Amino acid sequence: MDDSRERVQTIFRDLFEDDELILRDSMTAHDVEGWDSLAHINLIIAIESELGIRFAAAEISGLKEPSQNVGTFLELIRSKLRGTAAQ
Amino acid sequence: MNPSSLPFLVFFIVALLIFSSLSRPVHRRYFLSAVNLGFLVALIPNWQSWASLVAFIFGSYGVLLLARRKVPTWLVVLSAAAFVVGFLFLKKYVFLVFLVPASLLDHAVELIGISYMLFKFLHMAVDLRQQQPLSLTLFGYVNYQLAFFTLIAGPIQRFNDFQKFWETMAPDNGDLRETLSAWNRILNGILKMGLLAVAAQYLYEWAAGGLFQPQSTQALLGRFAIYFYAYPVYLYFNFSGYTDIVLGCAKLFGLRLPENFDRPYLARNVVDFWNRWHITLTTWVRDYVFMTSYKWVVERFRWLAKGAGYALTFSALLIVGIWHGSTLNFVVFGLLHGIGAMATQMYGALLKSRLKQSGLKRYNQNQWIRGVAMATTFHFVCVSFLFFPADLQLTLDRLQIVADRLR
Repeated sequence: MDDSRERVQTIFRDLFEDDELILRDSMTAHDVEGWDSLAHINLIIAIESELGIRFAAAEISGLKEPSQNVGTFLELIRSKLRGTAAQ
Repeated sequence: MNPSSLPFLVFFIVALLIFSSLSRPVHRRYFLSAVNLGFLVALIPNWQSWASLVAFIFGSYGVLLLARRKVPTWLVVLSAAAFVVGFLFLKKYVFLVFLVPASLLDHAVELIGISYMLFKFLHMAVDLRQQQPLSLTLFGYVNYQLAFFTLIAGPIQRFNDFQKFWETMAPDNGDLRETLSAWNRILNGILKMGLLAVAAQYLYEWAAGGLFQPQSTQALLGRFAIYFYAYPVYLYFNFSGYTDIVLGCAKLFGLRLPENFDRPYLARNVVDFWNRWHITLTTWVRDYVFMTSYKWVVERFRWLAKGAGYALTFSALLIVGIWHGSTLNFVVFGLLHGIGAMATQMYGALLKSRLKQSGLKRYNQNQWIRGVAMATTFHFVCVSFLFFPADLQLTLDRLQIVADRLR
């Protein structure tokens, strides 16, 4: 498991109080009990704080679109981490 | 112009035929601009409204150019806020009588769709400020704001989705199944808007008008039941029918508009209802009011997170209510939904703390609980819709007459 996936999974487990939660790329908000708008924004805040990255409003909302899943979320995080590392 | 009317359909079919016959994207763009202008001419009643519209479009475009540059954030916020104040003034919000002379509010400006235009502009200002890639051009922006598909009542499409269409200008891809499905959607919309909504509206007006007549308690309660249920039925068929028509029309032009409804009366709580009803409005408020303000608060005052979540959920739904209209009845509508959404979140937090993940899953999957939750939510929504169509005092008088009889 790559580092960013593992760190994001830990945040998911803390936030949704589920120590057995395993992140799969195909997962969506429907697959995790309690992943509503409030949980979504708490997730974003925790990820920003833990990984030192920032999301724009349009990116945050895009992650709730039906076509999006954990895989696209992780890809966005990785692209932001690459951007941060390049600076 | 009513989208289920014959003049609209003739206008649409002629426009589609000409649009499809043009092969170059640049010609399609100019033609669609002319169609949008022609549609506007039918809707704008006087020169004051034209002047206000031109000022809004070009002024807001200026603010967007400002948002893209490295100017101080307060300058962009202040400029955008001026447009919100202008919007409140143009819509004659009732509370303004306490702030400005009443004669100032006695203006002749009537701008259909200004509420949608404001939200489209604000989302672009925020996105540009946050360095999101938006290929902004005046021509594209004017047509995004004034596109005849979405001018009257949405849905609120995001700029980038419109821009993709505007740049390529490819009409429907010629797939017969897709074309037929678009026409099917238009016909469904006409049926909903022109028949089912009209029948429900007739029933509603008959029942509402008869509440004050002398009659037996049984007859009064019967009328009240029709009054209570007919308006939500009318509103759903009218609005979702309209959405079906414009989504189908736009699809034939090659423009994919976002969905606005997903069986809203099957929602299991108020938050779920707003995820199914006027979806593009809810997602706009979620993204640019709720999430932005909640994030701002929690990043600075972590200990306020829980309270801020409830308070901002309430505020977001109150804004949704007030956005619908300038009179007090919409404030009551927003207050009810704000309280309902806040209560939903509090109950959800309670369940989560008591049941944990596995128990919560069983709870959510229980069909009996689901049925009770859906019935409760539907009736809550029906109560809130009592305040939607009429003057607040008139609604209170209608409720009073039934309450008096039941004493």
